[in-house]
Amino acid sequence: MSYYAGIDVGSLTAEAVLIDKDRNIAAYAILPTGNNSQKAGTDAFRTALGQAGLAEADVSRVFSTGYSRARVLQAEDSKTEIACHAKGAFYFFPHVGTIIDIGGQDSKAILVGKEGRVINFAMNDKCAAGTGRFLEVMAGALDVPLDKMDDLALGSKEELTISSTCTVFAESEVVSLISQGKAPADICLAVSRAIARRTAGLVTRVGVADSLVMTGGVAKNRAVVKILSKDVGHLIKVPKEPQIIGALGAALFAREENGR
Amino acid sequence: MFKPFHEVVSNVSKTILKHEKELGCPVIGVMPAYFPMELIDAAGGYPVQLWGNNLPLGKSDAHLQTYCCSVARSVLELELIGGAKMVKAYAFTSLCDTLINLREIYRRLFPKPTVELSIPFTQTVEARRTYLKSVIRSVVKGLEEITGQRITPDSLAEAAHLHGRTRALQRKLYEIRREKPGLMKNHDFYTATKAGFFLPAALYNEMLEDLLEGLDKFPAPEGKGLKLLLSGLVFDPIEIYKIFDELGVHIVDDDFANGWRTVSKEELQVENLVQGITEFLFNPAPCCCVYNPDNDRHPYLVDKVKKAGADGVLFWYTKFCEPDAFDRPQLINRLKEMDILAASIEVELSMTSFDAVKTRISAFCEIAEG
Repeated sequence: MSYYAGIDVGSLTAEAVLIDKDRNIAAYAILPTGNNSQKAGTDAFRTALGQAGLAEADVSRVFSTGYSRARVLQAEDSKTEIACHAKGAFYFFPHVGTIIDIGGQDSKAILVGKEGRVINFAMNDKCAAGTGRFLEVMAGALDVPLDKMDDLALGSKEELTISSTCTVFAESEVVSLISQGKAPADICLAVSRAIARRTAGLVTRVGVADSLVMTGGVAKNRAVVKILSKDVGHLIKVPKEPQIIGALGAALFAREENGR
Repeated sequence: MFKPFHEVVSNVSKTILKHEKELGCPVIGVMPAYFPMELIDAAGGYPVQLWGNNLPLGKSDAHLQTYCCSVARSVLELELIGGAKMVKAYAFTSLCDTLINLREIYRRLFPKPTVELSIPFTQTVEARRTYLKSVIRSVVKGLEEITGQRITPDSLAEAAHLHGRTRALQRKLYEIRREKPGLMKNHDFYTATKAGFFLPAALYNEMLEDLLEGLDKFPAPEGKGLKLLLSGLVFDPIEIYKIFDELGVHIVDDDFANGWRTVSKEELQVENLVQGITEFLFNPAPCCCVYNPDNDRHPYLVDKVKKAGADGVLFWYTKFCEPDAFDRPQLINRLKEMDILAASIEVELSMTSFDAVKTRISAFCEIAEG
């Protein structure tokens, strides 16, 4: 009974993180959310338990986060993904000032203070532009694996522009570029630039601190991180597994509040 | 205690039709904001306030751009789909560019008569009065033509007293909310306020009196919750207050155009109607849509937060209200300079999913609670 769990159920993926009483990560799992967010949360939790060789009874307290946080059966309490990403990013980077979290369906900029406490935040949740979903749609249009987009983009030779901030219209622009015979690598770079441009505005709204950290699935795209670093004028650090930061934050909250 | 108010808000059309029949008065739809209901009552009309609705928008897109506010778009949608057949005429104020143009759109599209109380953009009180003199003459004439009845000194005095009483009762309700946080659910409070948009004033006053009498018996509940002040144009979508209730947050005061900015207005002085309406439009609460250099919103809001004992201010941005959007950054900065926590949430009247709003409100509360 000395483990704590955080379950983050988002629009595209569900993550679970287990930590021990000393805050060490024992195991984690990342699964697609699919069409049943409740099941996705349970599956992610059980997968993480299996990897750690633990049973549910070994976990003292579970916190949930993410858009479906209220539907996680195992959770005793929940926290917003904003607080959890701040907490999780602080775990890896104690000097973090601004966090950029680009998830499946929204993007957030979070300004944090001491102990990873949230001071201010801004969200884009009305439009898929600049989110993981945007990347997925573009990967589909280009017929390129999602996890290969950054490799391609970083090898780009020609500078192209995608001007639309709307996912649907941006996809039309990509189709148009394909029909013009433009190279997928160059289009991938243009897509990365479009995301970075939109995110930079969001970050500026909350304030750019010296130490920037990027979390969420899109942080795995090195081209987006590189361009965004240039746009905001600061190096952006990325945790080894940026997708689990929300769930990690929830687990850390579960551990903290267990002693209260 | 709040059941009768919920019944009204859940059955708006039915409520209006019932009272139209009983009163035998023409229903006059009143657009946002600050049109004195007193004038309509004095002319023998039945004023109902139209602060937007949650209809899915479709037909209105043919006449208003999607970047216009959802209040204007949704009231137009209601008329276009035939949902406002009981409304015989419309009363406008020149609150913003969208509403000024909306009146022109109504005049071209619909045969229903309209009147407009044009709010002056002038520096001095004297210039406002001079301007309003002719405007009020035109409004009075227009209303008399619509109802077929004259506005007399007696009818005006009676109506002023009736609506003055409404706002006095509403102020009492605000006071109870401020002094006994948690006694009323946030959703109940705004339902009680909203019900007044659709009911005849005399009946609404009776309902408020009963409510206040009932509430008076209860002491302030124990336990502490986060106390917030909300600021914006329109307090809808009302469903969002259930989120605050779930989170145990107490809204202790507000600065909504259809909330305190209107409720705070004293009884309309009718002995000198021009002077009375000038006072009514410009005081006491400042508004982003009413130009009044003598009534600065910044110190006003800071003072309001302190008096209410609020832990923070949440700006309620109804997309895409331009006057509200222009004022907001400076107001947030001023509040932050005074160490008052402030943030903004974006809402649309037609929204049906509140997950994102809930995340924003929850995150704001987490910040406020440390």
